[in-house]
Amino acid sequence: MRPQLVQRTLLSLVLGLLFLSTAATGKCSGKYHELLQQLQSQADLMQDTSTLLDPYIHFQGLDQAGLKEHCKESPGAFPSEDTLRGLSQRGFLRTLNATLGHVLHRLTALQQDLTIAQDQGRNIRGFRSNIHCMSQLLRGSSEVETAEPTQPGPEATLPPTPSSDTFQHKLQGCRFLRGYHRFMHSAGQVFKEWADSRSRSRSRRHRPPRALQRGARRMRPFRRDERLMPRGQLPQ
Amino acid sequence: MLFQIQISRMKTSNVIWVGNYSTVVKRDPVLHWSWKSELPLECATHFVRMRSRVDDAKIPEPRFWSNWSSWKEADAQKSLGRDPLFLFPKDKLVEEGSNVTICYMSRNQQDNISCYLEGQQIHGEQLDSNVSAFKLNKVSFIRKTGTNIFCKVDQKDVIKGIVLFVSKVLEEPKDFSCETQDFKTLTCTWDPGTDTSLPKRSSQSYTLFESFSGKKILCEHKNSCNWQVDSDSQEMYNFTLVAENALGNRSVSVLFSLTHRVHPKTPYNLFLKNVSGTKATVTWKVHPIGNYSTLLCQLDLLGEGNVIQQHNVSIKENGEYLLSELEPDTEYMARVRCADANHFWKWSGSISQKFITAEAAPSEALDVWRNVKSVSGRPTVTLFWKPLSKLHANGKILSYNVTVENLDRPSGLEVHSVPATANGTELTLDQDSYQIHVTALNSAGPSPASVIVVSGDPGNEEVEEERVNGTEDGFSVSWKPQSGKAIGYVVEWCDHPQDLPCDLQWKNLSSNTTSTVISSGAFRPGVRYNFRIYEISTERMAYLLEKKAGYLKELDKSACCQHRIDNPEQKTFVMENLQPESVYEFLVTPYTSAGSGPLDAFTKVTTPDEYYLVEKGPYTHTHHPPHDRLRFAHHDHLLPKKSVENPHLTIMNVSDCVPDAIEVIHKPEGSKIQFLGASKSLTETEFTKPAYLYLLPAEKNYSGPGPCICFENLTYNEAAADSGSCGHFPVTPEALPGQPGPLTSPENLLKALEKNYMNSLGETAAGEASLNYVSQLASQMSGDKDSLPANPPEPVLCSEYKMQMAIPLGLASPPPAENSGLSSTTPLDQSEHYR
Repeated sequence: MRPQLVQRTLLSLVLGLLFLSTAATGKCSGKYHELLQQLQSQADLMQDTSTLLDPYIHFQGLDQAGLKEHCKESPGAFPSEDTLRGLSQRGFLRTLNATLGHVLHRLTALQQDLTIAQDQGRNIRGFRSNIHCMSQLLRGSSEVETAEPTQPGPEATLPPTPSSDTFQHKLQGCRFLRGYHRFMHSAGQVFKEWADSRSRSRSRRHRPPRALQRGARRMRPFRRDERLMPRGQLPQ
Repeated sequence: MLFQIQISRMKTSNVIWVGNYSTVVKRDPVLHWSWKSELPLECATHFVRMRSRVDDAKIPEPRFWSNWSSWKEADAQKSLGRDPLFLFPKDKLVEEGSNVTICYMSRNQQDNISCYLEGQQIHGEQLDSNVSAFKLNKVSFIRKTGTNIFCKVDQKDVIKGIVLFVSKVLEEPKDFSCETQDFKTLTCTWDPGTDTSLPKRSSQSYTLFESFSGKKILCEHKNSCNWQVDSDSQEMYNFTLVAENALGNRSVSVLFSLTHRVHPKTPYNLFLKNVSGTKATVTWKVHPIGNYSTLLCQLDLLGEGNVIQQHNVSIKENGEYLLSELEPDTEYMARVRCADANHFWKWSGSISQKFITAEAAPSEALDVWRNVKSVSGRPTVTLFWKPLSKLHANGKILSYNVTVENLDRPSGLEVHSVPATANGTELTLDQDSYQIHVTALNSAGPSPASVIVVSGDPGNEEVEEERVNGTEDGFSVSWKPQSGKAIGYVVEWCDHPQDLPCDLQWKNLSSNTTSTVISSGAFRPGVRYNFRIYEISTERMAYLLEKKAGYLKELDKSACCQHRIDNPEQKTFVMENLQPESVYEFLVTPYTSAGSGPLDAFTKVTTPDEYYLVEKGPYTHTHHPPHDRLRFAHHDHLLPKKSVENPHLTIMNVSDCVPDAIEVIHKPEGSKIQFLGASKSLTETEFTKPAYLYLLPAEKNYSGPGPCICFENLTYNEAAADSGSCGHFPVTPEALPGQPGPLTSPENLLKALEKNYMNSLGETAAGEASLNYVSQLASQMSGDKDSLPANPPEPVLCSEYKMQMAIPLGLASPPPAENSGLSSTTPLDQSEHYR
């Protein structure tokens, strides 16, 4: 268990530094598929509770009967998966970016107690760099920019951390991290749908019955963004 | 003024504490006094009241109390919210081992509430209908993030908790001391003990206070603090170190004189100069301490990690010492450390330097011995010497010089240089006498010469050999002086008499010695050792004085190759388990109840290569092979191969022998005619006489029938026998009793083979194969196959070979090719011998 944890921590550190470096140099991959795969991989990694929540629970002594069940995600703290699915691609990316910004802020407070929170912070920064790159890619292919409100992040919905009640603070931190991992899982699902959508469109390109194609387009999410994608780069 | 204060809990009549508080009351006073409740004030309403009286000695008695004030209520509950459950105190910090009271307050009396400490349910005391308190005694440190205590309302999703931060106990600093290296800075150090830090709460801090100067500094480190020495005026220092955290403080003091706390810095620039074979000069430097301080430096000389010399040197700044009595060509280490010469406090760190002394000429003559033998009629002297010990070599021996001087015919000296790797040399001389000087040389020069005189005349070798008995300590050898002019004696022997070279050993003894014990780790029981005692004349010539022989311990006769023949009429004896192509020596000596006769000379025999011993024996008319005619022919894993050139008795332990092949001999009457008719007689062959022919006196009037030999190796008892055409002979099964037991031992194997053989002979019809010889050796008879009887009479007298491996029946069936070493159905020819 412990070596796995160390391995994952190291991996996240390396990944984090890698993407930080990408962001720092300002070079984004122009390949949609490659970027999408990276985002998916990172989301998979970040949704893993062993990277943050499990160590936190152990560190705070919350791994006791009667306490664990109170470490549930606070409703509304993070956008639900349905909410994320309902967003356009760019809206989704904006929400993701904003939410992770709030998470970073919260992790800063946790870093005092949990050193691995620092590593996760780096990972999130790397992830946000890739979000930035994906946004740029989508923007570059956009003909029309549609304004879309960003979904509320955790900062907007969570009460400020009480300073005098450490017990409540521990529980809230636990709930927050539970929500974070769930949120990253949902984000990963959305990215997966992006990838599935591209695969389907590729296979349809070989069999182009128009009526079916139109019907399928109506069924698929991110209709608006697809319209904006340049040919051959983004899902058709 | 003196104030008396009362505190009540829950109701005013429930007074839980009464105390006095005395203070000077000034004009317009606002007095502050505090009281700490064990029970968190949030859990119960508290009341306080007080009264006062004058507390001044100037005012005469009687002094009266004032009236009680009215009760003042402290109700923290009112400020709480509307939550259904509260738990107190929140985030309390206590020291490990403290007692803590916690409490919960429920808004609803109907709620069933359970509380847990680190997951374990705890039970408290109900203070009223909705308040309960829990007293935790001697709380332990569990984790830095605090001990979790929480309460839940059953059947509701309500949880409230507190975190109790338990700090490790603040320890008194240990090993607190201060010292200076330069009279400028005092460095105080201590062991802080356990760290009491908790998240968001700093660890303990340390403050250093000096009472004479009244100065105080906050230490930057947890375990050390630097104090600047301002001037020379302050000699005495009284330091108090205070450790402090949020829960309390601990302090420790030390009083000392500055000059008694001098800890010099590590010396530097340690060098060795003028290093000779026996002397070396060491120099070093020290950092000066003040203007008047003298340092006492300890110089250690280490050899092989041990201190072999120790010297004390008082210095101001530069140290120097001449080391003497060193050994040449030896690695040493010089190590120096220093302390204040006047008031020892601590040694400085050490500085060390390795060095190697120069070589010197070897200090001792070689221990030389010689062996004189005649090679092609010329005396050949082999010189042996023992390498000089490191102590006497005084360096690396580069070579040995052997100088030969003819004593009979003065001529020039003959000098031989022998490489350092050798421990002897051989010289071919003539019949003259020669004085030989042997020296060892290293880079510094030669050793004293070892002188030995040899003569071409071997002298009297006809010295009667005596027996000597071995003991646990070795061989106790004694001799009788002859000339009375001996300058010493030498006892000579071989550590490994069976080997070549036999590892010649010698022992020098003084002229007044007539006995000694010869011991060697190489001595083994059952091995005969020969000792020759020489007298060394004043001319340094060695004369053989006596010869001794004996065993360290004679082995059990049944278990070694010394055999006792109890029947005086017996004139033959079969030596079994010999190896092929090996040299053996044997002798026969009579014995009586008084003991053994003299040991005569050994007879040397050489066993031939790969053949099978056949012993001719008395045969019965029924063609039954006699019981004693099973013989080992050879064995692969018997004794180590020996080339017994050395004239010493070799003891072979039969029990150690594992035969891998046996030979079964049967010689029905009349076979001789048949056999001899088909081959040359034994005496006509050019075959080298094998060993057993020497061991078994030849009986040439053999008149038995031709042989038929069947072999089988039961360790490979595969069913490959059916295809053979081994001849069989009628046999009476009762000739040999059954032989139970495993085949793992040679004895059992032999017995089993014997039984098997006999059974096969008895139970199998002629013409069927049941016994098969299995050999890994090539037959020596292949060259004589032509001489085999072309049509042997029935029953076929034969032998059959099989390879020593599992052979499929189909492959085993046909006989090997004619020229194959694995010949089959072949009567013994040259490898079969008769006596």
